[in-house]
Amino acid sequence: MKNEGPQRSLGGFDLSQRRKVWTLIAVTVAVIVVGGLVVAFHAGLFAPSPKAATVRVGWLTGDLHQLAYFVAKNRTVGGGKSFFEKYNLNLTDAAPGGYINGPTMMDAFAAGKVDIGLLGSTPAITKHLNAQVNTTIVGQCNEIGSALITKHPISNLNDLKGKTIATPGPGTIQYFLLLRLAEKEGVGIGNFTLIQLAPGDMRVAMEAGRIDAFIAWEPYCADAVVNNVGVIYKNSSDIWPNHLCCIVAVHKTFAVNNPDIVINFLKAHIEATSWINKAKASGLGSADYNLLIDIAVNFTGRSPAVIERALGNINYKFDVDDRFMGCFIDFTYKLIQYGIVAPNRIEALGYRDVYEFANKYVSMSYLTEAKRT
Amino acid sequence: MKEETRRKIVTLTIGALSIFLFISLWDLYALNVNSPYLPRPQQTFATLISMLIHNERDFSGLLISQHISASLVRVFYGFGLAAIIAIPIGLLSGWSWYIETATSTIVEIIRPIPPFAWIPFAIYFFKDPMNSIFIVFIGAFFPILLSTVVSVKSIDPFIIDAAKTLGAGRFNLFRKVIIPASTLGIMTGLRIGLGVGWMCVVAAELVGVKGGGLGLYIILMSSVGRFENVFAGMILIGALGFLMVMSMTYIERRLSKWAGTL
Amino acid sequence: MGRDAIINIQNLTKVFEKGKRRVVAIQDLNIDIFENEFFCIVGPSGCGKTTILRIVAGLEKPTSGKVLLDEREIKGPGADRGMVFQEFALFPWRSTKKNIEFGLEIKGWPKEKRSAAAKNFVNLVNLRGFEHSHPRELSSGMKQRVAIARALANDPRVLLMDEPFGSLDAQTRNMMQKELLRIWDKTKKTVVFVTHSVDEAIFLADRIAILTSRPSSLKKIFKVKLPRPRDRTSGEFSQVRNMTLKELEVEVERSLQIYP
Repeated sequence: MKNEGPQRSLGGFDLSQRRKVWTLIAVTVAVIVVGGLVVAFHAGLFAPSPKAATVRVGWLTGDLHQLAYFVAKNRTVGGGKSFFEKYNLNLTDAAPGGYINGPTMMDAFAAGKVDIGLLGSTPAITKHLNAQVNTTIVGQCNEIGSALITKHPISNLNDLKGKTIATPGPGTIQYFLLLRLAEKEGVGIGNFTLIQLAPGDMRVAMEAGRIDAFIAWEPYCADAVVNNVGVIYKNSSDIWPNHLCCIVAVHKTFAVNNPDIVINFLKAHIEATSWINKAKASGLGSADYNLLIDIAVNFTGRSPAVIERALGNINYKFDVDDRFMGCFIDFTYKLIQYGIVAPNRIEALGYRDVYEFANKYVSMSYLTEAKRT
Repeated sequence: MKEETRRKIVTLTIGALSIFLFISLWDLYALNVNSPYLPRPQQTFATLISMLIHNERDFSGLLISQHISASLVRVFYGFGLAAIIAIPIGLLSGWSWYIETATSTIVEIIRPIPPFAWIPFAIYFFKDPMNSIFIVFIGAFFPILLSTVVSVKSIDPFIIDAAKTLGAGRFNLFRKVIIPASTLGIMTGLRIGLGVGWMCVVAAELVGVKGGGLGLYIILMSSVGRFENVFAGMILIGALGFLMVMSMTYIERRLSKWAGTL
Repeated sequence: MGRDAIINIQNLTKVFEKGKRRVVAIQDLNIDIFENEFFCIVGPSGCGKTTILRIVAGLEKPTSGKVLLDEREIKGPGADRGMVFQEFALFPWRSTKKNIEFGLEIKGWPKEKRSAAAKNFVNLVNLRGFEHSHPRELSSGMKQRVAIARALANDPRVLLMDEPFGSLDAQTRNMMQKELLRIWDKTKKTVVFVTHSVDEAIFLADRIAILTSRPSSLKKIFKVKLPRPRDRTSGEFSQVRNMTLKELEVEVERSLQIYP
């Protein structure tokens, strides 16, 4: 208001007030700069880059299919020395805490941030064919390990007509499992409303009644069942027996330059996988079994009940045998047929056909060598 | 040639030149990088045009026109809801110190939370389509609210005084002075809010939407590594956002004529 | 005395407190203003003359003392005390006509009645042809004329004017002063006019109150006995001007000492 209060000095503020303002500005700037430096420091911006000799391994956060990696890291399993240490491997996490999904890990491969990675076969195929990510598959982690969970028990898919089913998205193995199941039971897929959700959000959605069913991989299925959110309708092994799931992929250049490391990694991986199957077989109460559950609980954060249930639905297997290749080729055909892989990509990458692609993309030689000893 | 016409031509020319420059830089960089992760402009635009002309089903089973309309509808409702709720609250907060104090604490705590973080909340508490609309709403709400509050507070206090000396009581003051005087500022807030709401479309479509959407389209294409489609989708999102903001700006300009400030 | 006072300012005191700063703007002011008179208040800058006007308008509250209008205490703003501001304060989204009609809309007048009244006042202030112009299209002098028309159209008991010509250039100012007198002559409203221009006050007023520097109280109050229309160059005018300026000079000096 005009003419209210005392006259101000010519400067606009009296001197002490101006100094106050400048001090405030200086303090704020200082706080921001210092804060930024602290954050950058913690984010590793000033950290020395890891030595080239260290091998960077990628894995998926909380993914029970990649149990072998954590078993191979564990010292108790190896009786004092972990399997990786036994084979003189110096490993480090490509991403602390793991990657949130396979496609993200493939992106990291493309950016040269990952040397060896454990991930789903789907992104390993699609990202290579569509975006030419230069990886190669050298081993397997597991077969099967998914399930269709429904909110209420159903006798067959007809009971879900007109209802909402969540999948991790078209193009995932789970999506194809659903298609295959619908075909088997003679129910047109158009009868369902399909939505895409991250598996981590599926249980919430089911609890809230937003979805009537979901298809995902373990341990999301076991989690829903153990917590009485849903019931299991079909394990994926009943839908598509022995279907492939997670694999071991390597950056092609890295593999060519460091074949010994790859072979040694696979040796540790073979031992770990064998140990897992032995521990599973020895059953409840045995020391190995308890250790197995412990390891799994530790890196997934799930309860032992969920782990035990989920383990029953996963087949840990390291071999890339004919069974694997048959499924691999079958699946690649489907990806092309449904348009997930863009047309003509096989030819564009220089493969004669899907068979040649499969045989070239899966490099069996490393595993063969690793198995020999 | 009229001055106004000449100015329009210059503006358009400069705009076109800068776009051309941008595309050239893009192309140069893409050629340099030579990776499928950065498609060249030609491929991207070819994909985009093919997408729009052929309107084929993608592997999620939907047409691009369905994706586009699904996203537009979500943003329309989310933005509309945000406007309807934020403007009255903003008007009252700008006017009454009590109301502002009562609401500002909650507002300032909720405002920094990114829309992305609301996804599980939206999944649990809302069913389709409200779940995705909610995410857009959260994005659009705060710019609209803040602009409204500021525009009320920056009303020339003298016209309030004048209105009082002309006999205006609380109600008339609000209806005949506060609202018309803050209309322009509110409009600016709406323009910004629409922009933010549109940007939330990608997050919004992760809640498990039915009927697809441009955000979902981009995520899908990205997860399988089809980056030409990703970039084409990004350009589409950008272009639609641009059109929306342009129309708001046009409305804003007409309004400022009415408001007497142009 | 004949006429009764329409406004009584009684023992008015106004203190501003902001944090630790305490400013006594007005101290024990007593002024009576009579009906139909043109009353001017002059004083040094920052002495609080605007504050006095705003208190009469009801836009501010006194710290102690009171102001009466028709012997009733003023509690808040109202249509009975119209005001014209130095900043014009026109509603920019309304045309001239609509600005003028504002108070009448609030009174609930029907459309035709409002239009007719607006037309009258547009003519009164010589703005015929500009009914549909918006404030941004008008010059400062025209804007102020709209403001005056707007205040008068509402038929207030008194018209308060806070340095209304302060934003105008010298020529427009002189012209507007003449215009104001012409309009005032036609409407015979009681006007309370605040200014720091002595010339302006002497040209316009029936009576002038000179305020002291802060804290303001009444220094001198006197009648301007010059007949209208007044000649700024005449000897009598100069006499009154010199006398007033001398009184004011002391106060201005005092105010400059207080506010470094």
